[in-house]
Amino acid sequence: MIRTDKEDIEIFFRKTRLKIETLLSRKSVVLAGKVITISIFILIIIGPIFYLLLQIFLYWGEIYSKVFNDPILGNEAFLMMLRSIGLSLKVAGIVTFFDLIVGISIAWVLARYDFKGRKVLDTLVDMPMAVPTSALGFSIYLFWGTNNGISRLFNSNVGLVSQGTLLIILTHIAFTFPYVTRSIKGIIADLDLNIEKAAKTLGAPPFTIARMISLPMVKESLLAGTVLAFTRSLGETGATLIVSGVYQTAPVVIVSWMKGLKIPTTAFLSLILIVISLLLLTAVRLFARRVGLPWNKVFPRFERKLSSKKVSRTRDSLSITLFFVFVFIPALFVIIYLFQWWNKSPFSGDNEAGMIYQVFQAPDKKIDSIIHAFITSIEVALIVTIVNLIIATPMALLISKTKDDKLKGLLDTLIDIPLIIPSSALGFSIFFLWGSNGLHLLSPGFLMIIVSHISFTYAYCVRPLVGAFDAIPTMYDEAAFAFGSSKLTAFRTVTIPFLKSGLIAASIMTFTRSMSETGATIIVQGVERTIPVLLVDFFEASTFPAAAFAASLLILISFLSLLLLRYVSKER
Amino acid sequence: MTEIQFKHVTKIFGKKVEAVKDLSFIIEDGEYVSLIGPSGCGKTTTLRLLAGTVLPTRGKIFFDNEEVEKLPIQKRNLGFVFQHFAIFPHMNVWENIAYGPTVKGKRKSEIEELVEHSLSSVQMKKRAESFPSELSAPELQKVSLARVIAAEAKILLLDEPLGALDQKIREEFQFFLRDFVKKQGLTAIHVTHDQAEALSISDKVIVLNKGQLIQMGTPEDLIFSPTNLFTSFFVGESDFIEGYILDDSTRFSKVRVGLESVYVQNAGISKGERVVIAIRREFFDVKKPNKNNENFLTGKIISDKFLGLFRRVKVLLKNQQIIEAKIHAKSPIKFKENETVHVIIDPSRTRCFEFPKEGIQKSLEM
Repeated sequence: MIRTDKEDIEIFFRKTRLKIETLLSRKSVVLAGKVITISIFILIIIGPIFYLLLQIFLYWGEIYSKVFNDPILGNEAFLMMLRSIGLSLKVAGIVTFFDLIVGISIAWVLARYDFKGRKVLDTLVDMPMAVPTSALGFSIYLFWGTNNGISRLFNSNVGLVSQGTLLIILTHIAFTFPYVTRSIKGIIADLDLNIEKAAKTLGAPPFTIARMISLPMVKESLLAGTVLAFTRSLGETGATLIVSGVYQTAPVVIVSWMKGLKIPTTAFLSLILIVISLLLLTAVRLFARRVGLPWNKVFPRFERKLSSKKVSRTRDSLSITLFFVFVFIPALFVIIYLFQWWNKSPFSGDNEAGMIYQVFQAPDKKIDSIIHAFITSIEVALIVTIVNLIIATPMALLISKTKDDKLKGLLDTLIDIPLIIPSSALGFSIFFLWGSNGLHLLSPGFLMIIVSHISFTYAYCVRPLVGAFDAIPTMYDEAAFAFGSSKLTAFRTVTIPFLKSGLIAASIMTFTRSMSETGATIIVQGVERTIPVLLVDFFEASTFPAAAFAASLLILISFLSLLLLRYVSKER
Repeated sequence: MTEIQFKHVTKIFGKKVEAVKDLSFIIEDGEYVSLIGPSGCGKTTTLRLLAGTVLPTRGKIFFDNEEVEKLPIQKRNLGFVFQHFAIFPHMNVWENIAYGPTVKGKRKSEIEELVEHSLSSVQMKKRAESFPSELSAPELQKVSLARVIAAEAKILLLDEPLGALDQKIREEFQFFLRDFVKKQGLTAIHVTHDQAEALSISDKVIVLNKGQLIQMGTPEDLIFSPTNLFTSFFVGESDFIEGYILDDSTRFSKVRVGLESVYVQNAGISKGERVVIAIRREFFDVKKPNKNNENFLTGKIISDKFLGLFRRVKVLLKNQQIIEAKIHAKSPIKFKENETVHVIIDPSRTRCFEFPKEGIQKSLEM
């Protein structure tokens, strides 16, 4: 009978799979899995940083002479480091201050008010986080810094804001404030409104309630988001390369020194940046719970005024206006620019200055390098996403399920390291460990790009997965075990289906992040080019319309992945 | 059917937390047993120990005289029913029920038979294709029972199985559940915080406190013959009167309470010993003073409150102890504050315990 044959085959395969899964669920195998997971983590993520630290200790003499005691430059390298770090810290500080103001009010508007277009605004706010910073920086530069953008309103022939500190700040605010908004929006929306009502019945005006009741409840996430915004500003390369001009921030200096192959000084500066970021992370981890929001004092009259309908309406509409004027329009201006310069210069009418000529017709055939870089970007992002899903899922499981609180806390903190240290410094330490100075396994190029991207996207992959694992009620696992599943069978049949949207979210985030990275890529790319780096190249070659073409392409891709991400997370 | 035996089982979490302490009991084939006790008493841990998701630190658990740890999980024949059902949301009813036999490697035709049989045992055949999100709470609980049957479980573990149901449905479901377990010939262990549920559904009830077994017995035992202060305190409502044994020579011992004396059930405690008399609030009567009253303590009314079906009469005894009687609301006599009354004690309804060395409060700590 055919039916029985079929059944025999089915039962054979099922039984074999169950047996294999039971074997693989044995304690020793699970332990081995944990060891492998942690080893990979150390090798790819923590290893490079420690190797860098070690090398600087070992070769302190050489580094000392290059940094502080160069025969020609003296301690000029060190002074330059101090200048650039000072600038970076100043920028990051100012940026974070504005991020908080804009970020919190927009989060409030998104979480508490129901109005037409709220969902659209919600997506738009996330945009700058998804758009590659080099495209963003370029667009903002076009808007503020050239005669194509805002200065047209004033009939001016030059840009309103020239390259430099102010433009860096404007750019950084655009892509860092969403970290603040994102970190608290969800929690504000979920807060128990009765608590606020209670405060209201006791006579507190809304502003006081927000300051003393609601915000303290989101304190930890707010702090986490703030740190992320700060470190992101501190470590950003792609956009800063474009908008900084002669005022170089520390990550930009890393890139330019690396280009000049000044390895010892680059190593030292990378280390300083890494140390600053780590100190920040540790401080936040240690003090997050203890720090209270300042000012328990109440200023009834002043705060009541601040809470009046007029003021709060003005505030809300102002924050949204600011968002559009300072973030949204400048961020997407490049698309307008692209159409302005589609086939000729809008000023001179010169065809050779137009995008069509530059990209498709000029003798250097930019379209070929664009296509090539595009393919490279996609390949890298795909490989990175797949590899990261494979190595991040067990790590997320480990963090979510471990009963050892110390291990959990430690891993939880270590995971964040690649998230907060400047990607150019991370890229450099990977170049250092894997390249000719270290293991000598890779040389700058495609593979090294992949390794470095795996490293800084790892956290983007692990975080949502930890969340997804945490969200699964344990009773489902228990039910599966009670009915005779082995651990692995339960994982396949019960856990994975729950994880689906988490996995997709993690993939999209990883993919987008990899697609948009500039700093690390520049350090380890060798002769390869990805789209964001190519954009910087075009910019430096002053072929703006071609750069605008690449930027628009990047924005389009990231917008699509953002929409996809929205769609997936909504399904939950 | 399976007999379950716990032998000196202790479970320590971390280094210090003793969730279960030296627990020994036997559950016979086909018995329906409930575990009750204050929260944190170890009921859930006991259930997990049975399920095998938690392993004992010391001691052994036997199913039909076989040590459980040596039985692979597939051969333990367990079924678990959860408070929130744990019906896999990504599978339909049919797939949920087929889960047990599927992961145990049964043949397809056999699985089909098992699922069909279990679906009809809970009258859910029509909903086979439905997804959990389309089912009501009682339906979900029926599916989880069917899933247990399809897994050919002999032991049914129930963790607050009626907790997520509405009060009305809950009472109906109690009968359905007991009936179902008996029909299927399962040995059932039911964890609940609802005493009434435990008393009405079980063959036997185990009272746990601080990880220790306090008493195991039939529901009647727990109500009428608690063997210790904690059971009489925790199951139902009791009051405690302190006294000394005056005479222990007859069926009823004479106990001195303050300046008065009453007869109580003889618990074999010798003359002169300090004792605690435990009386259920429903079991004593408060009457106006009368010559014909027998075996009473005198007191003054503190309050008389209407509680619905009952009235709560608070009395201050002569020895300054306060006790509360629950008197059926039908009783026509009403009391005024400060009125002198007789608290009538039925000796066969009382229990007498040695006065705990650590004091009453301490011995009732949860």
